[in-house]
Amino acid sequence: MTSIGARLPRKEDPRILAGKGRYVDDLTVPHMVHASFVRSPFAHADITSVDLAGARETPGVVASYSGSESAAGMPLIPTAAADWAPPRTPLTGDRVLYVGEPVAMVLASDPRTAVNGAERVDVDYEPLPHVLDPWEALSPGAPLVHPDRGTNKIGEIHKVIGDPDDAFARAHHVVSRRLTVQRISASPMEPRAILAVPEPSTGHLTVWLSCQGPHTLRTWLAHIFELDESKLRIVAPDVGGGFGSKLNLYSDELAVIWAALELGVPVKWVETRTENFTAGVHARDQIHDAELALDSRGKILALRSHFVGDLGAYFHFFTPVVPDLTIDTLTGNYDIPSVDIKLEKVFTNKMSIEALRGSGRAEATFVQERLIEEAARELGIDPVEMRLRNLVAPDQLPYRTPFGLTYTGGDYPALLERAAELVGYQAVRTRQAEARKVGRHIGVGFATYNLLCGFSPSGHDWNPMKFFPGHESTLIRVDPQGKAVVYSGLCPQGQGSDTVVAQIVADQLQIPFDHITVTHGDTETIPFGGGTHGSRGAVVGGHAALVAAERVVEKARQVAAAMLEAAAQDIAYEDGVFTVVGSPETAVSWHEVAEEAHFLKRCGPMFEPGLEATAFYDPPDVNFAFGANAAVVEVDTETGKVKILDFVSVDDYGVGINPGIVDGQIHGGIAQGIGQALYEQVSHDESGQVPSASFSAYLLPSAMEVPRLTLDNMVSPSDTPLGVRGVGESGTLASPPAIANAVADALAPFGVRIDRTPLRPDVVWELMHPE
Amino acid sequence: MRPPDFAFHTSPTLEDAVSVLASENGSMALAGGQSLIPMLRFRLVRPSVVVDIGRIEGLDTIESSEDILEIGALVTTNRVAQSSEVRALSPLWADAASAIADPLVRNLGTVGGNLAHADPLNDLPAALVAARGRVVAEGANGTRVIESDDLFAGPFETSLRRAELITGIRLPRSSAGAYEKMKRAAADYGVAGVAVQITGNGSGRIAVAGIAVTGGEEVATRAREAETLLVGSDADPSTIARAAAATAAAARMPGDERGSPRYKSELVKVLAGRAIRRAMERGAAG
Repeated sequence: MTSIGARLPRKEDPRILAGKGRYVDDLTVPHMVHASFVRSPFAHADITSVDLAGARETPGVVASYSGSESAAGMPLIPTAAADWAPPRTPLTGDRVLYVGEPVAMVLASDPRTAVNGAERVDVDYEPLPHVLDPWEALSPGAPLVHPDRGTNKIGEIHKVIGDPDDAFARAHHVVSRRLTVQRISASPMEPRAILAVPEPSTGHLTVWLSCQGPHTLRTWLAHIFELDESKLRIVAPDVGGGFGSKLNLYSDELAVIWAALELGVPVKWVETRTENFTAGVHARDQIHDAELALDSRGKILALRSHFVGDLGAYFHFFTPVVPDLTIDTLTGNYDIPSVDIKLEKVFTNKMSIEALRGSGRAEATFVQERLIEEAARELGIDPVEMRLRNLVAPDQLPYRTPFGLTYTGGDYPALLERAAELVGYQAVRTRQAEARKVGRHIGVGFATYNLLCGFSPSGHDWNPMKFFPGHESTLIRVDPQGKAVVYSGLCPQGQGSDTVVAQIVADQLQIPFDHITVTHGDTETIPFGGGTHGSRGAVVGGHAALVAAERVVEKARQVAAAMLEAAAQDIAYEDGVFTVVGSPETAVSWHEVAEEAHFLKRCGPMFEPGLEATAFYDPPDVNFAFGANAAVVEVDTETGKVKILDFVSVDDYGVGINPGIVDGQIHGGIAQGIGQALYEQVSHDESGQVPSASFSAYLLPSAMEVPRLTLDNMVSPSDTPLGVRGVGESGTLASPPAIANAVADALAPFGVRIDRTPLRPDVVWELMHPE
Repeated sequence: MRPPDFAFHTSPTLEDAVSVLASENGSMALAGGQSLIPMLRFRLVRPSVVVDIGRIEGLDTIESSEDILEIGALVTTNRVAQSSEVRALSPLWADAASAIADPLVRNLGTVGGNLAHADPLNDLPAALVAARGRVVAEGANGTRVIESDDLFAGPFETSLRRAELITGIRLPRSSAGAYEKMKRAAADYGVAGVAVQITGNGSGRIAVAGIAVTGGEEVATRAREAETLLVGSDADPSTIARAAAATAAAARMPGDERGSPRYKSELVKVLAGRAIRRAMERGAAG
């Protein structure tokens, strides 16, 4: 009986698909009040006065607070990724720095009344000059987001490795582009939600929070409010999507907690979609001036990119390091000996950027794959051939990248060749030529990816974050019936990791999958946890479950040894039965062992009672997954509309624990990549307003925009006990450049440059018809 | 959803709805709710009373006579889109209804609501204008029939009087109609749309042409010059091209998230050409 590798139905589905999920908004506690926020309509302004009188007169309003009145008594919000963060309180008192910044909050008996009260808060602002463009923010005389610093530049990282200057000097050809990866939003279907329940009599505080990892946030909360961590409980019930946006404690969430502590009553807040678009974190937003130095055969000699990361106005937990991930992943699967990468990080009057599925690496993949495509075109080399000439070959493994990352597995050329085969590359070329004769424009595009994931071993360079563990924990407790409850430190938001963890544990314990219950997301019951993000669920959390299960089996073996009057090392465990090696008739079942472990009726006190074990797994290194995508599109050159005709993804995620879940992760990642390629953009108008702040303007791809996807995979097990590689973010990396490359290919006869996404119809049309 | 305070009244009959709407200042009618509910959610409207007209009987039929296709105001846009009768007697309307948002919206949104809301991005106004349809309305002073050209007064404004409700529409039957729409994603509003309906004179020439544009600054911009160009012609390619250009010239397209005026204007020309050709093909086939 092996569970690993089986396409088992998800344990989570019957409940969630039947509408029986329990999200924060489903929770009700006695005496609960509801919050609504008053937010800045200006990108940059001084607050001259806040009048709460109207709110306080509103029937049903319990309390109202402004930053002007209360900020002095509120804590400052830190970042996890740097010693310094722009000073900020949960409600802003004096000056707002982006549209959506919370300046006041109203608490009322129900959510609608809270909005009624918030509507009657009167805030006067004195608008200040603002800056939205990162290049403008860096120029002299630009309005300063944080005037004390004297500059909008947050910092600069410049890595020069090998001899890029020489490579560019002697290059046969140089291809240069300014490439932009737009600002996007995570858009989880469940927006942010919090219910803070204080117990004034004991000093305890329970926070129900839609989040991606309660333990780290508990430590942060204790730190921020100077609370006793042992009296804090954070619970993530069902969470409807996070994608990186729920790793934070946000200012408005902290205001809710602050108010609950002030008033001593439970406070609940569920944000609106508009708030999620303005006050929930954004992502990406990089502009690269990038170039490749090439020899006459198309071999890449060096990569240079000087890029700017627009981080917005404040720091959330990962904000200042998100674009750093782009630097070291810019060479992807390609063998590029010399690099010159410079990143400038900039403050602007916008919401902060943060981690979002594929963060940093999706930007890198777009830049490297657009550049290689353009290089192939300019050199007249077939784009697949161009990539094959530059991909790290299997015989180069283990391969150390210029940035010091070590790739140990996979066959990158084979993945690409398989994608080309599945998409019918030669047939598509024929079809393209035929279509062009009748004025139709089909294009095919490729991209490969290398997903740095499994964040991140303690002490590793990739884990500079304060209060964010790289390890993961699991407690497995077996009851007298032999059924197991697994307390996982993961904190899924829909990934299906309960199922994956149960499959891992089922194989070790050799008990039916249905005899395993997985629970997660509660600091009261789970030993500790890093949570679910960065494609770490199986890679880190899966191994914690594996080690805990091995320990439980070892303990069970000791019990069985006592029962069978043999030494533990002579006990074999197979198919749920313990036997003495050499005498298979001397046997006890798992169930008998589990019962004896708790009641000690047969052997007496020969072992410590109980059958449970805890494991903390700290991975030895980060993990990598890789693959190749191919997209075929047709562009309606009259309207600019891009239609995806075919999409192929060939992925190497090592051992797939549950192929259905893995496919689902890849599907979802590609759907988000299609969004980035063709639809999604957080837009700011000249005043810094966010006209895209609703789903009628922010286009999220739905089932109707995502075509049928052809998936295939190759297996190169990772150097870990389970052989798994990360997969949660895989689909987001290569899909945007594959689609952009296909559009560029379709429009090759028009000499159109595809330097940015999303490739919405009007954008494509404007490119084809410059004024 | 956290809407402003309002009272809610369910009307069992048309008379009751008209009477409540007439007696309550600031009352608003709710049918499928696909526009009103989002407006309530954004607090863009603050009705004193929301009057649910969705349960009134007799307003959800599709019927046809020798010349006319009659569609009740409470017929959902999905029923229009799916109806074989509509597909046969007014393919323009079948096209336009099919083009509305996604099935979730079409299953709830109604013909009357789509017209009465008079959103310049709604699809049925242009289909009504191009078809030279009529709207039947019921108010405190009884029933009246409004010509399509007289219904829309401006964005989100109609000539319907206070407490006057659309009860149905009457469309001249025509197999030579088509609606072409460009939307960026299935559930998005359109960038632009063009409705065309043509009547032949029996000897290969066009006798009557109706062309109207969705997505302009007006609600359902009627392209009169383009109509005139088509009338009397046999819709040869150069006439179609000139009519398409004239359609684009007629509509003032606003610049926004969905594109620049320059792009949208070009798009109207492309869609107009496609819609005219398709209408002609259907007319020839029918």
